Amino acid sequence: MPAHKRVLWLLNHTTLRNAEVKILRDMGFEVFTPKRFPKDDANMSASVTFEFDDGLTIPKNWLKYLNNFDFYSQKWPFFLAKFLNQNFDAAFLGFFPNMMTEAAKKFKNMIFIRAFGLAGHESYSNLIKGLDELALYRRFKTKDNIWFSYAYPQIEENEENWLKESSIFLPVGIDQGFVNQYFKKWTPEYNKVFFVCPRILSSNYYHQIYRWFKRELGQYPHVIAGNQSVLVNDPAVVGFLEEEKYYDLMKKCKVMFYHGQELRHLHYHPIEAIVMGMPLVYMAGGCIDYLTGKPLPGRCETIEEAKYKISRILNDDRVFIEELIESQEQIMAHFDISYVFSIWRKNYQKIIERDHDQLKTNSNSKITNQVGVWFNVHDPTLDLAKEGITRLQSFIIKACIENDMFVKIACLPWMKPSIINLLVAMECDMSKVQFAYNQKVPYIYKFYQLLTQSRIRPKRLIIDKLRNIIIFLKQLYSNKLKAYFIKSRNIVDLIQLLGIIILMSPFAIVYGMLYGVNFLFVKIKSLTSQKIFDVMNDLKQRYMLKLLNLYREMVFQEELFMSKVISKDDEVTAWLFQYPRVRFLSHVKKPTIVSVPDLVYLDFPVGYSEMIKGISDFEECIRKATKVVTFSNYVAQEHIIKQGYRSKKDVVVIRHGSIDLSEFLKIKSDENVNYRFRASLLLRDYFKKQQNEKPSFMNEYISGLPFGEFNCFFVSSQTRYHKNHLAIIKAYSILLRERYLNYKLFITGEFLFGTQEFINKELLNLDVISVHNLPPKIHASFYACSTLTLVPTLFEGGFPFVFSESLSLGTPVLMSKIPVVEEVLPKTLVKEICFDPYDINDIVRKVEWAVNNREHILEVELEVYNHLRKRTWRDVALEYFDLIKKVVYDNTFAN
Amino acid sequence: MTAQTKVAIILPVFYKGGTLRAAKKLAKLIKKQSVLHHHPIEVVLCFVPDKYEVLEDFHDLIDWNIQLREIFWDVMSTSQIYASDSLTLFLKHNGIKLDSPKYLVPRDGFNDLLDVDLWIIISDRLSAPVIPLRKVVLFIFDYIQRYVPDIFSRDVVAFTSKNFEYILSARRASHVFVTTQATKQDAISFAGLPTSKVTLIGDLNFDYVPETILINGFDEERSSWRFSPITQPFFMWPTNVNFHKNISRALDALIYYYTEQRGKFTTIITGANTEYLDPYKVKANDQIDLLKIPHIDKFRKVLSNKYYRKRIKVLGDVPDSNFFQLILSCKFVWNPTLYDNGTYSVIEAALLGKPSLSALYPATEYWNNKLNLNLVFFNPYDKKQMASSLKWMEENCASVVINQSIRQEIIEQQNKAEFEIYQKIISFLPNYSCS
Repeated sequence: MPAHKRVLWLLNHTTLRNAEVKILRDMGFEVFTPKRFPKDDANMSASVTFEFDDGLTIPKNWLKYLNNFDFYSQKWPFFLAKFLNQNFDAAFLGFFPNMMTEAAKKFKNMIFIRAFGLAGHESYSNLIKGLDELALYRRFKTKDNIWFSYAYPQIEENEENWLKESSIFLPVGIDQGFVNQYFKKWTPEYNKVFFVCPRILSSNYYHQIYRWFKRELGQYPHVIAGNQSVLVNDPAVVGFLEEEKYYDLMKKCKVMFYHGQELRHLHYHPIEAIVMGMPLVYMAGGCIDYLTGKPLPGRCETIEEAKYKISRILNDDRVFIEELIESQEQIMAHFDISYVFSIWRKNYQKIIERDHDQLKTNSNSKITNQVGVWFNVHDPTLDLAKEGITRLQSFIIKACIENDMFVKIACLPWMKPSIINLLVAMECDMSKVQFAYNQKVPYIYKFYQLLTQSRIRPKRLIIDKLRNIIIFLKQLYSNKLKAYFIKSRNIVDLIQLLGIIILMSPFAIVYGMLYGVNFLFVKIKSLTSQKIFDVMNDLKQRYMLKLLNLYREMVFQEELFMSKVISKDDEVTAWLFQYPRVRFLSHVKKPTIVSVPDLVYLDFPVGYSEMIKGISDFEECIRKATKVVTFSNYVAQEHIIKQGYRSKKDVVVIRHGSIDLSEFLKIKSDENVNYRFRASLLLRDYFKKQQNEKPSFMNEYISGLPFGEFNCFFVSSQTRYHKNHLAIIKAYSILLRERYLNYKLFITGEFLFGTQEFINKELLNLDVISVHNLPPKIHASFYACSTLTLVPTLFEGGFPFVFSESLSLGTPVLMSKIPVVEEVLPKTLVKEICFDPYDINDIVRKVEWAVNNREHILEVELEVYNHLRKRTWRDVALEYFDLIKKVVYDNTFAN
Repeated sequence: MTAQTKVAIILPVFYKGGTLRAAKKLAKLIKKQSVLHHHPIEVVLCFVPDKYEVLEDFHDLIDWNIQLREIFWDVMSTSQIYASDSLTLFLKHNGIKLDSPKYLVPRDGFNDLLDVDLWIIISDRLSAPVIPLRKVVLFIFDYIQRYVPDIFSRDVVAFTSKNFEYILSARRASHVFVTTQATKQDAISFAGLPTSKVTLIGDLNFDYVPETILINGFDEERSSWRFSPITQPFFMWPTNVNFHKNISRALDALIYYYTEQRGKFTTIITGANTEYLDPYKVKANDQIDLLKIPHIDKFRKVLSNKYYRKRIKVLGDVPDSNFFQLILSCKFVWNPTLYDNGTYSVIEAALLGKPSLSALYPATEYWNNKLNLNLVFFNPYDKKQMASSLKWMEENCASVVINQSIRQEIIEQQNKAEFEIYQKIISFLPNYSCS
């Protein structure tokens, strides 16, 4: 482990500290823990310890100073910041705004923001953006030595890309000391349910939980533990207990009930119960479900189920109790300290090494034998590791580097950080990488980013303050007057009242004026600060199109300029373009290899008549390239050779590799997970979030669907003319309404080319659902939750990725019988799983048959898939590399 | 549970026929089972006063000592609810969260059903979720609209919004009971209810056929025919005029049957509003909306033709006793419905020893398997096949074997279902603990 010596761990949660600080110390660090923390409701599980101070080798007076310093609320003086920067290599922070902001501004070394999950769909991204100061946000945006260290894998999924890109998984563990003391120490003496519910009368949230518990489970004997800042008049509520007494009580109760259904957060006490070997009955849909990836005996879908299971335990159903306790080991495995330690060590090490080796590309421009790779991407929010083409390019680059070639990358300047991240994640030797185009980012790009990525946030304008003043004055005036009037009994009182009226009349006048102003605003359609910013955002949207066109023009000009720059580069011996872009190619004098996915308009001249402009450019590009790569024989033959663009010797077919999406649904690489189970949790959570963020009827409808519990078909494709969505929807309509197949149909594409009209006409809108712009994990989840994946396309340039994507998650596929499919699949399989995409009745027949023979189809397809997946993306990259070598050699030889 | 435990069975809108029977059956079931299990439960049957003749429609419940109560629905928005201190306190005290923009609140002139511990609503046809001041359990019979959307509307906005109201009501309920496997799947897939929230129970209507008719058969002397007895061989087509009854295709099939197939049997049509199919029973009138429905209009035009009038007779909604007597006299029962939760007439036919020719859809397949009805199936979308199957049935109905022990099987299943339903329902009562 490279030399990090000392870290700050600025949290005070007792149980967490016991685990995490020990991990850090076992990793070889000295650790400072704070000795002051806010004594409020949110920190009832916090405490202070001095036990780690002895391990610190900082001067004693500094230790004393740090121990007296309140990291939660105090600003860091300059000298403190200097000392911390010089003596601490990293800081682990809790999600406390003041603490994080100070550290972001003043601590230059590594920062880890610990994240243990938020309630509902609240995201850390939103919270960070919503802080009063933007120092933390800026630090993440510039990737300045800061990491979002999430404790549960599903936390990351809920975050925006800018936070995801700087995230690291550091799981939560259970302290070994606790395990040593309490492991399997459950000795039930009280036939009671143990339930934890703190702050019953001081928190609305916990009050509701308490009431719900009492209503649903109150009839069972129970104890309710948890710190109470306000005493509760309920004998079952035990209030604050010293740690030993608390655990003693816990282990003597018969069963623990855990109510939590947050997907991204888990309290400690259920884990502690599991360590003790105590039966845990828990509600479904939460963090435990996600971690285990399967339903366990203690899991309950409904409160009625919970009652049933609790009854069985309280009635001493030994078989059930044993079954429950045994199954809980699967939960425990995620918190086992040796597992947690191994993850911390591995991930932390990666960060450190990256920090040290940093992304220093080679700036020596005098290197020959370079291959140029043109990256055709301009959107920095894209996750390049998940995009097919860029992933392939990264493999190709890696293959070149591993074979002693240097690589020069041509990309737009704002894409550099993303591409560097991509290559570093691929473990490429960055010393062999250069960038061909080193211009600064144009201002118009920065302006575009500013407008598109920020939403003008409503701040409290004076109008809101005005409104509050009005309300205050009104209450003051009227309450005072009322009080006096009620008490008036005689003339003296009335005189007093008159006096009050006169005295308060200035307030009345002010109130009147303000009311008048407010009234005016009300008249102008309730102009609140929110409204003003809504108007500004609307204006922004309206002019966005114009800006978008400007942006596109800027991208084009940048690329053009870039091509001119690279054309002067003599060190590069050959260029690889993943898409025909002749306007740039024409400037490049060196040999070029151009990938041509397809010339689809040749097969669909009418359908694409309006859509594709600049066809002649594509054709010229193909003609000019040194070599042309296609992904299938069909495209090579029918689109390139037979059309007369190139001869056979200039066209090379390099097929795609397989894609395995199962990594998205695994926590541990070796775990035996039920993909569908975990995927169903992710889908439900995702759509609930969509509904929160963009409420609409359809989002509300979809957000309530019990994914994983109903049958559905999945069509994963973009919306293009040739994708044949209308046919599959027509076939589906017959399957649903005439064959009574109880399935839904999800399509990852917008409804265009007549599909929406058909859906509306046939009133299928609750069963045929468009789900587009899916994040990769959610996309994978759809595969896992579907019964069948359908590929109804009329044409593809290469063997559809969907085949391997779907099978990697255990879902069989039905496909169109088209040339690229017939090139790859054995004839027998084509006969079984392919349909005529032009014949709706054939699609209906095939799908109906498949639904009744799913297991058989899966079996035969997996056999083929296991064979196809032997061709990895590394193999594909090597074929590109061989081609590059050949082109370079031929060129050198020719020269 | 205490002796004062009360359960309300609620008919949310005006229902007759199967739904009303189901409600009454459920009320009696709970009463009976609670006494059997020594946990007496008071049952209140609530209904929206509309066209009910209380003494006639609910007389049997009075004999069972089941309370009757009229209710109406108030609609309150969530903000209105939270603006009320008493309601807010109630919700807070019971740990209840509201997550719908509006709610239906039952008003009964007493304590608005708060003297009752559990609200069981027979049907999901609610314009908003019911306010969860008590646990709400729904009985859902079908999602026909998923397969025959016309029964709601052809307009996509109206269709979607209406569906959504019902779906939201179901989603907000504590639990849902369904009576067929297909409805259960629809509840999960179409309404989006988690499996744990949906329970499949036995149907409640099987012993509808009166014992006297089952034992004594057709009694011509005692019958109260309103029309001449039918002497020529006929088959029964019990139906109504809704879209899912497949009237248009069925009519085309009958035309093929009588013309191309030279069918010999008369068609007897009975059921609610079927009189509108006959231009002589209901004269043309612009004020009657039903007559504007295309399939009804088409039927009337065909029936204006003497040829078809001779062969297709519309009796309208006949009294139950006449209906059963017709079944006893017919050659078979015809069910060309596109989709429903199970046309009881085919079960009644089997109970009365008559075969049935039925469209194949999930509910008929389900009942056929469950009760060994030995139904003869056809595709309700294929008119020619419908016609040829009618002809086949005409020639072979006598050889179709009827399950002789169907009544016994129904009784056994019902007894089992009764207990299961009761157990499930009481699990929703407050302070219920499994022991």
